[in-house]
Amino acid sequence: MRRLLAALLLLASGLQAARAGEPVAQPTLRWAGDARSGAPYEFHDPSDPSRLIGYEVEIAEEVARRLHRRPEFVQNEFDGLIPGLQAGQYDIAMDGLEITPEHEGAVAFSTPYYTTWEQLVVRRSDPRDSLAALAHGRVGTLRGTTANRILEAFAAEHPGFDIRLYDEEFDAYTDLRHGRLDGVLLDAPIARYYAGVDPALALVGPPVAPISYGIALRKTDTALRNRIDEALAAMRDDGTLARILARWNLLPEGQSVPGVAPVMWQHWVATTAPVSGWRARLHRYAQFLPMILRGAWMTLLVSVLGMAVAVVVGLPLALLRRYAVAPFAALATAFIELVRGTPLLVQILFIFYGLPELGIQLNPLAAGVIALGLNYAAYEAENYRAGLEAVPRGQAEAAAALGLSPMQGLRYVVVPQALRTVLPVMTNDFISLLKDSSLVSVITLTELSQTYEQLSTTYFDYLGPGAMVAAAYLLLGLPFVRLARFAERRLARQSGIVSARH
Amino acid sequence: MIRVRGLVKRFGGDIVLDGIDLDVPEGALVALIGPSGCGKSTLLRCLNGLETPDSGEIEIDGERLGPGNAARLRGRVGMVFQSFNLFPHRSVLSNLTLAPRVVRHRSREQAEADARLALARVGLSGFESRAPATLSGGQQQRAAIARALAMAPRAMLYDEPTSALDPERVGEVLAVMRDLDAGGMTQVVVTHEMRFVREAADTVVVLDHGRVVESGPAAEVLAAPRDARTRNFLGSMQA
Repeated sequence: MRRLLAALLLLASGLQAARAGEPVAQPTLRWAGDARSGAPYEFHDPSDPSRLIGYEVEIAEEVARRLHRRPEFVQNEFDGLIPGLQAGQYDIAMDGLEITPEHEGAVAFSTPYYTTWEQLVVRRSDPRDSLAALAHGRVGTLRGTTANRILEAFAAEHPGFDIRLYDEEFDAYTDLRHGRLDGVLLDAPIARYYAGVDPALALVGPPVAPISYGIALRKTDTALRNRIDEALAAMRDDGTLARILARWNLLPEGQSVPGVAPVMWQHWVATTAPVSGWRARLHRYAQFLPMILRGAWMTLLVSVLGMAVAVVVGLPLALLRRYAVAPFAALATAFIELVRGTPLLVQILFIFYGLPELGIQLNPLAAGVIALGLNYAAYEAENYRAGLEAVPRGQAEAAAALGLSPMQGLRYVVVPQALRTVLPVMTNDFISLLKDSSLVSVITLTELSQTYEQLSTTYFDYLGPGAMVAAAYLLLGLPFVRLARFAERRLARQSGIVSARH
Repeated sequence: MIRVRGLVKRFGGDIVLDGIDLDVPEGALVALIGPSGCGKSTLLRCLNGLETPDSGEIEIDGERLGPGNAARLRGRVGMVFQSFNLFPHRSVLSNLTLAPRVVRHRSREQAEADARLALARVGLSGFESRAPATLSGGQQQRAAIARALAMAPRAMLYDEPTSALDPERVGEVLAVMRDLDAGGMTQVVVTHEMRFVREAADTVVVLDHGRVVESGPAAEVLAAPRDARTRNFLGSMQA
């Protein structure tokens, strides 16, 4: 047990050393967005998914440059962007966050870096070309956006109107194409990038409502906000902002910047055209491999460290519960019941977003490892308990009769025997932990399942990446499946001998 | 060597030991016999501190047994169990060296040298690296005796040491006890092996319902029991 702890500490210090070894000439500007299906804001380049692109990426990098800070992107779910900002996980958030009174209640905003509108999209074959014409129709949008609130206000006045909410814009337009929706209301850049390339869909009607995007900051970071506003003003004045928008074909109708072609828009159109032929498809899948390997490494890292925490914490929990005086035993029992009685997802969110409010700030990896580790510790404690109960009472008595103290009896006689019976169960638990580790994707860790979401929403392909990610999980788990079988066989053989002789 | 006065032990409302007096002189082999449930095992466990008496006193080697010195006195009184209770996850040698190293802080070399001597005494030289589960019952019980001997005890207690053995394995364990007796070891044994008691024990103590009903030289008590309860018990053993 001590060796395990030492190895863990060594690993942790190694991780820190690796981080310390990076060149840190400049302080970082940590900025967060949701890069899953996030065109044209921030998303993974379909021709090279390891590359993060988007007009907001370019704005963020330019702002950071002018602040003499090194930009560092943090992936987070759209819904989690503002909570993560408040929890201090990064400095700023950008993802088409509209400057609205609701948002301003929670965070501060820079001056707008982009102004646009909510755009209605319908099927080209459909003559209904305005929201009013769809008063008895079904319209979709993204959850928690300004468009969401506009549609709700509209529905309040039109009883026959139906709203459908989505997490991914791509899914909304797919349902529109398939006739499950009559229209989609979303920010104009989204409409242009996802519906504008589809001949079956049409952008119709006048702008529904104007919206402005701002860089979100914590309300207390006034100095940072002032410097960002200065940088944005300078970028407006010297034409940098307009050039970025021109590259992405996001300038208002009729405007252009001489000498700047909409190259990024053209790149998008070219790369998202459906691939045909198995050769092209295989070529694309081969490009996924580095990302999947990185995701698999993160999954393995979180799982192994999480299991180590579980194995180390679970034992004292079980011992407290079984041998300690009432208040400590009750405390251990309460912890176990609390952990087993609440969803792991809630625990992960609580540790990552909730604890910073109590002054406990954890990086995503530490938060993920601790959340998984404590959760599984409760289950391992129950395994240990079963293991301890399976050790015959005569063993502790024999130890006591030889003059060993109760603690020595546990340490040298009872616990080592309990560990042997527990090992196969633990190995099986590790395999479920490997799968449960997918839940840490909600706290900005890009592990396997997060990689799957990124790839599938970038390429609108759930099949190929799904098969590849599934294969990665299986390959990761395989050695442990074999280990569990081996441990079970060995245990069966041992107890077989013992029972035969008694 | 061992002196017991007025020992009382209750489990819940039941009186298991009801005022026991017992004297075990140095070098003696004392057999505790009596019908099952008479309290003989509990008495033995009290002598080793595995059970705490409700009243009365126990003196080991001139020192009174109490909560403060139970662990230390246990090292001076070896205990052998009916089901051996060897540590299955340790080799035979490491079963023997654990307590000397952990409790007495002996060096590994010293502990292993002592352990080899103890194994030789019970005829198990060459079994050092074997796993307990690979030994026969008789060998396991001899290893358990060696484990107790490795602590260099002043006395040995045996709780039905041969009851879990196949009949043909009983003799080898009893032979070890005879040998220890010849070497001057003080021993108290709870047993149903009447032949062994007759041949080897110096003193027989007969218990019934938590009381000593008769005690004396083995030959006398077994040949001419004075107490009716002893006669009953001995009669049932022959049946």
